[in-house]
Amino acid sequence: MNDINLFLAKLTYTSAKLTILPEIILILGLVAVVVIDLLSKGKNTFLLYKISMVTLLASAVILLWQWGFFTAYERSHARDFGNIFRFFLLICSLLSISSSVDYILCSKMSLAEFLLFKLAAGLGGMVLSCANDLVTIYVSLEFLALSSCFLSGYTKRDMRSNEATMKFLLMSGASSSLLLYGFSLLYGLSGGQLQLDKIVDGIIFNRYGSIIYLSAAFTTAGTAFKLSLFPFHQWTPDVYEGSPTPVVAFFSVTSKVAALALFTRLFGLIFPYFSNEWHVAVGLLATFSMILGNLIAVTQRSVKRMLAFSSISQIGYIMIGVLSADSGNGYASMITYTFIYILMNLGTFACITLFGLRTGTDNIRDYAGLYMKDPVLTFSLVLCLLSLGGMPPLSGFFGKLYLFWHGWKAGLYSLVLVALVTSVISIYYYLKIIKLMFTGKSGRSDTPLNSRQNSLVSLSISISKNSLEIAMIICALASTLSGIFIDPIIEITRNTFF
Amino acid sequence: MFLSHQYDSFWIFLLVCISIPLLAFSITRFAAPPREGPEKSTSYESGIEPKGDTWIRFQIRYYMFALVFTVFDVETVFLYPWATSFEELGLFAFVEVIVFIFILIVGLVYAWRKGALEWC
Repeated sequence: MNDINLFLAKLTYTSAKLTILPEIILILGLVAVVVIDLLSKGKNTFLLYKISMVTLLASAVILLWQWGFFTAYERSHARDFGNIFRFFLLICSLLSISSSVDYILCSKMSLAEFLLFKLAAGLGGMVLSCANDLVTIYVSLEFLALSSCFLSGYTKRDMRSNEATMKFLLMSGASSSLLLYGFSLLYGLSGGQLQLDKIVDGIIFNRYGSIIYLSAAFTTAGTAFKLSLFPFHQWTPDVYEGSPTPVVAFFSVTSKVAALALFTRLFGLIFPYFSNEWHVAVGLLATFSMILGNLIAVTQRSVKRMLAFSSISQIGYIMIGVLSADSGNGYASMITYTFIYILMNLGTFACITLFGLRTGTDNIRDYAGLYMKDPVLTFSLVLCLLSLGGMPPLSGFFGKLYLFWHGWKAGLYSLVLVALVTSVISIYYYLKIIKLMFTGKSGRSDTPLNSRQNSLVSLSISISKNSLEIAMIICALASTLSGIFIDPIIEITRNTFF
Repeated sequence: MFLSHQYDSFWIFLLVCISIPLLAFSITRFAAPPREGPEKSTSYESGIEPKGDTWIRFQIRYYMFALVFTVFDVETVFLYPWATSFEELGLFAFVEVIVFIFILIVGLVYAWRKGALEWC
């Protein structure tokens, strides 16, 4: 009996010590999905869905348990940061998988590969957000980018999807090469060190001034491609428009969150010595993405394209949080807003997926009079859009308030002013859709609605359809209510500074 | 940084490197007699008479086979350094390699069952 207890204690300790246990569980889930798909020859789709959900949940639970286990003994801020982002990525994967199963089954594509790519992308993001090594960072980034690329071309008979994949592949290749140039300069300057903290020790900042600037510029350009900051944003709208909607939902949050973690770590750890210069540069990029993202979004006719530009501007807001980090609060405002952004964005995309499934269109014009047909969908979409715009009672407002207040305290006056003005512009185009849904007359979208619904009924997959609606409602509720519980979130995220 | 004298030999080497292809192209222009013909502008395909357009589509299966080949190829590349220092690395590396091969084999079985290894 004593032996068993000892063994259990030892097992607990080793599994808590093994920090990549959540990732290992995800890999096991991946293998299980592939093997079961091969054994059942693509018939048992619901089991695959359940396996991937259970894997993600188990991974999240173990991550939280390890986190609690370690904070009881020692507190490491870098690990806190990584853990928060890993948890965010797991949430993204969970919500987006549950909201996309319905779409995949309706369009009669195979589910196994879809789940495979989503789990793989989530895995890449998780490794990326806690990587401490240039090679690991690069490999996991490519892992994430390639999986997202395959996902964006998942509807392979659709020409636009093919175009989106091609663009995404070329752009991510170009950005990775830029990033690699930056990394190679860092590697050379630090005398052949790969680990981030050793690089910082190895670099002599006064001696190689100009080359470090070059390296920082390359790294900024490479990560800005992934984040779709202003001059590197051109791929975003096309890829968003062409890819299938649930996939867009997935990589509008996952790759952004992972790239954000990478950006913050790289710049927080390696380049703190000339923080003035890169603060100015990143501030400029953020300003331009806020202005252009919001202004171009006003003129868009397709909802997906509009959300692409709105995500460009949201990244601009988040950058304020990155720039205003101080040792007291750390990246609290950035992480809090990222969390709220994940929920709002996934909620909006879940609503659009549902609408697209029923009508087969994503024009803004076709949203006219949606309130008469489906009040629940309309209501959740309204909540998510208003939250994205930052209307007071919803959580987007509190997130933005905290972010801007933080930025103002850090002395980023011009950035915060621009952000305030552009938020007002953004409310205009979000409200435009809401107005259409309530007041517009629905004339022409009747026929496709019926045909799609018939196919839905004939397929009789009510279970997964529920999952899409559940995910939508969870996102809408969370993006409404997390404003009330913002204090504990801030309290958790406060201690994250390297 | 590049102005110190220890880089002199490098600069000379770079000059020689650049000049060789330039010379190679310019010499033929001076030495060879200019004789244009339809035979001359066709592409050279190992002595076989070229047929049709050059912009033809290849079978996608070539790429499929190339991809499956990469599974083995990468596996071998990674296994070589492990095999040469098998004694020093010990049991842990052995387990790691088994995990590695297992994941690759799952990929191979997947490709096989999905029909990537069949030609038609």
